[in-house]
This record gives sequence, structure tokens and C-alpha cells, in this order.
Amino acid sequence: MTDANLIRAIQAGDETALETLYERYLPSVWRFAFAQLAGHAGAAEDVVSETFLAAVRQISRLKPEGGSVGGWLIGIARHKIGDLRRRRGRVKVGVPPDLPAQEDASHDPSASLETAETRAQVAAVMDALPDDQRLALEWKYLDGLPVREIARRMGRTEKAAETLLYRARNAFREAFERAGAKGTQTRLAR
Amino acid sequence: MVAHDDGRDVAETLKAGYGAPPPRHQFVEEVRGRLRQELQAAQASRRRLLRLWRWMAAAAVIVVAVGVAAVGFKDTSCAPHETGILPGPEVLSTPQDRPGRMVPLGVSLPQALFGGTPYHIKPHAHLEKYDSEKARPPFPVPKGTTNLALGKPVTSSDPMPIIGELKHVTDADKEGTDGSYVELGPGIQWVQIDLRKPCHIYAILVWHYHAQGRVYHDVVLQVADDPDFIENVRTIYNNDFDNSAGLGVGKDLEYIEDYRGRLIDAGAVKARYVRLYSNGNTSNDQNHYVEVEVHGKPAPKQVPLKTKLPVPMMS
Repeated sequence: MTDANLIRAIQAGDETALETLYERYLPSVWRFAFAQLAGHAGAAEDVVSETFLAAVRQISRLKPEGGSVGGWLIGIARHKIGDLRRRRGRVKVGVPPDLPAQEDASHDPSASLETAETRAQVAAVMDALPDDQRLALEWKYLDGLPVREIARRMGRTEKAAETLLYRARNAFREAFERAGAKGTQTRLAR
Repeated sequence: MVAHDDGRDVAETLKAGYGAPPPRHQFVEEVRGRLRQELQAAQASRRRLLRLWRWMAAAAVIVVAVGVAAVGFKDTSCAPHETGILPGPEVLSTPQDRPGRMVPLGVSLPQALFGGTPYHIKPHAHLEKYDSEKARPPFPVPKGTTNLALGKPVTSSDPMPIIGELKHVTDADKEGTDGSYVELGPGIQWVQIDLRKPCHIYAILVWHYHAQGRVYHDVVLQVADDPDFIENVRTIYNNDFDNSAGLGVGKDLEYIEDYRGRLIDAGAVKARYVRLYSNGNTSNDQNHYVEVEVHGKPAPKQVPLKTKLPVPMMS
């Protein structure tokens, strides 16, 4: 089912469609929150739950053909992260925070600064990509979806999805190498 | 020969730099349950609203019928009516204007300061096509809507403007000539209007600068419930297509400024504070505001429901 059809079904009260939407976008919203919050699983959980709840409350106002659902959800998550940072004080992207280990057991304190910086760079590059390109890369390379499924979700032809992936790869490489040139990170090994 | 691009390098970088452990199963299920409850509650609320709407429509029909019977068929099309909005060339109220009705938003437009299409601005995919002749279609708002921003206090990321004063933003002078606008420093800057109380906002009009055809970059409009934009921040408009302002990628188009200003549909959002960002323009890096109008109505105070617990009946 395409995103637009999912939205229509949810607006009509279809709980199964809501579950499909949740399962489709949970990994993406979770990864975004996790990356932006430097690996704080607890904080990421807060952001993810608030994001989806806000989305359900607002979904009646969403135009099904009005754009990327993934982008809309990430937009909500971005605001929720902003709210969280202001409430709790700045949690810098990519820099492990000064939190006691008990507060967030899933945070790896042994992660090196270099790894944290790489994660911050990748997070920044992904955040700056257009919604459809970011989602296509995530679905293809992190969730392992076939191009056909990506095309189906986005309501595009397979050929169009291939083209989108091609552009997304190039945009990612270019932005990552530019970020690497500014900082200390290595370039992509092709 | 071009090598096949299998994206392995991208996949490896993403896995190393953007991968995350899966969320806890218990958390995933908890959120799933809450979403289901939320959807059920939303559906119930929607049904209640629908019933209320039907009831009001029926009541309105009765009121109109009674009114027609009482007044007869007297022509009232020239009778004075109140829109609560500055009258102007685009006017405005219709003969059907009655309490509780929607009326077209009235906006007083300033004199045009340039004509034709500004050809120095090259069209691109994120720029709205410019039409100097096309009139803005009527924008319906509830009767009684006023410009809530008029004379309200304005703050800014640049408290020491280069030219003019922040009060120009809400002083009703939108002529666009020298002395009617404020110039803020280069880069991303914002102005913020305090409406003094929570209001339902239907439309926001902004004139950045219209003495010359310009495009202002990264125009982002947000509303919030607190002056620091921490609680309940909502983005109403965003044409920052490359996220250069860092507020997220926007879907709205850039546009060429002229005397008509920009009307932004706020969809009856409830908020007290309105903030507008911009990031320079096609002529220079500075940011300008001739006028900002916020059309809406003060939100009624929410009185907590006093519910009495039922007294158990003795059998």
C-alpha cells in the first residue's frame, strides 16, 4: 500500500493501516532520534513515542498526496528533539553526554570520539538530504528492502526508485566527502 | 567503461555511522497500544464533532428561516457590516455576512512600488512563478477576525536593527518606503510578535520589503506557546528547501516580494507567539520587515470542567 493510501485509511479510522505506517516508519524515526541524540536510547524512546502520538493527533489534517510521510514524521521528531534539548539542556549531536551509566544503560561509554564524530557527520549528512533520498538510502542499505518495495511504498515506478537511489548515493557521497574535508574524517572508500 | 555502482561504500558508511540497535520490544508494543487508543479517541471525537456540526447546521437553518420571516425580503446588501479588519481595496465582506459566518479576509494593500516581473531573479525549481497581475483569491476567515498583531510588542534576534525600529513590524504602515521598515543584520535573523494572549490564528501576512522585487531566503514561520519557543512549537510555513537555516527542510516555495505581501494560511492554529525567520535576500544579506499582520481571534479561556461524582444509590 502506498503512503497516500495508508494516510487515507488511517483518516477513516483503519487501525491496521496505522500499524502498517508505524512499522514502516518506526525504524527511520528511531534511527533519526538515536543519531541526533548521540545514542541515548532512553531519550530516543521519548522522542519516538511523542512523534508518533503527535502524528496520529494531526493526521486528519494531513493531505495524503501532500508530500513525504517520512519527511513529515522526521519533521515532527526534529521538533520533539528540539523541545527535549531545551528541557534537558543541550545534548550535542555526536558527542557522548555526561550522563550516569544507570540513566541509560544502552549507551556505550567506550565509544571513541572518532566514532562519535563519524556518527555525527553521517547524521548531519542524512539530515540534510531531501526526505525521499534519505528514506530510499535507509530502506535500501539499512533495512535491506528491494527496490520494488521502495517503489511501492513511495508510489513510484521501479525505474524512478532506481534513479532516486542513484541520486541519493551521489548526494550522500558528495556531502559526506565535503563534511570529511572540513573535519578529520576519512573519505568513503570506493 | 563505467563501473557498476552497487552502493556498497554507502551501505558500509551508513551501517557504521547511522545504524542503531533496534528499539526495545516492550517499548515498541507500548507505543503501538497507545497509538491505537489515540486513533480510537480521535475517531470518537470526530464523530462527536460531526454530530455537533449537523446540529448547528440544523439550528442555523432554523435561525435563517426565522430571520427571513421576521425581516421579510428586505434587501440588506448595503447595510453596514463589521469585519473588524482594516478596510482596503481587496474588500471584503459579503451581503451574506452574518454572525458566525465566514467572511473574506480584508487586507489593506499599500501602493505598488515597482511594476512588471523582476528579471534579475532567475527562475528555479524552488521559486514560485511570479504573476504581477494575478489577484489573490478571497481568503475566508470567521467574522470578527482582526489583526491581532497591530501595535503588539516585537522582539528580534537582532535587538539593535541597522535601520528603523522593531515597532515598524506591527505599526500598520506598510508603504515600504524609507522609514517604514526595519533592517536586521545579515544571516539568519528572526522577529517575534507577542499577541499577549493565546489566539486562534487564521492568516498571517508578511511584507519583508517591496520597493524592489526580491526573494527572501529561508522564510520560516513558527508559532509557540512560550516566548522561548520551547513548548508546542509549530511550523506554519517553511521555504528553506536546503535546510540552510537548520530548522528542517521546508516544502513551501520561495516567492518574489511585492506590494501584495505574502498570505500564509495558519489553519486556526492556537498560539500566543509568532516568530518569522529569514536569511538574507537576492539583493543583499540583510533581513527586512515592513509589516506583519496576524489575523485571528483571542482564544476563549478554557474553564476546567467541574464534574460531580455520581452518588451511589441505596438499593
